Amino acid sequence: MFKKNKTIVQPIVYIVIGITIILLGIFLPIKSAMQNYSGILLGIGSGIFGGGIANMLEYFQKRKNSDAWKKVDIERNDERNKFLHYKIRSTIYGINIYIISFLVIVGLLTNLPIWAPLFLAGLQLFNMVLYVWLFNKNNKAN
Amino acid sequence: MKNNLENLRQKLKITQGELAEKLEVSRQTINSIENGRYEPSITLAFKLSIFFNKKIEEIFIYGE
Repeated sequence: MFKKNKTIVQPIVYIVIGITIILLGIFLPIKSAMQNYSGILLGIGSGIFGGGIANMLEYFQKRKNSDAWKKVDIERNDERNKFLHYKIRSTIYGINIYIISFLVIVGLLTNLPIWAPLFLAGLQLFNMVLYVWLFNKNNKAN
Repeated sequence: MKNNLENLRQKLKITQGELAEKLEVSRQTINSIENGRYEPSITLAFKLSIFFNKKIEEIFIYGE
């Protein structure tokens, strides 16, 4: 359901957290053990700050032009769009299984370091274990 | 699954877009249901039933 006041708190929180992390990245690392993490903090802070600004702009645009944004919300929450979204993700997952399996074989047949195909095989195994675990979890919940 | 959605909508003289707006779904969803490409959720089926004041089985024809 479309609500005008739904998102105003979220962007403010994001902006405050983003600025805090950016300031941490700028000031705290000076002559401290955190100096190496300055770039990471600036990157994470900028990302959160940017997200907050985007949400804030969206909020004000919704206030100005609520009818147009109602349509955007309908498109976002439309059940067929969600169905297609899940179906596409499922297809991509299926394709990725074949791609990773192919890369494991290629890795074993070429002169790549042994850790590369083993890593991919491990990733494949992790995906399958995760799939079974999530299936069982959802099977009980639904 | 076949359905009578297009006939019911045309009887009310409303467009797919107008029906979609009333039910808070996209116009493409209504179009896909009418053409039998998409089977709606039970929630949307009930919304359609309430909107047209018809039983679900009067809108959707099971097994054809």
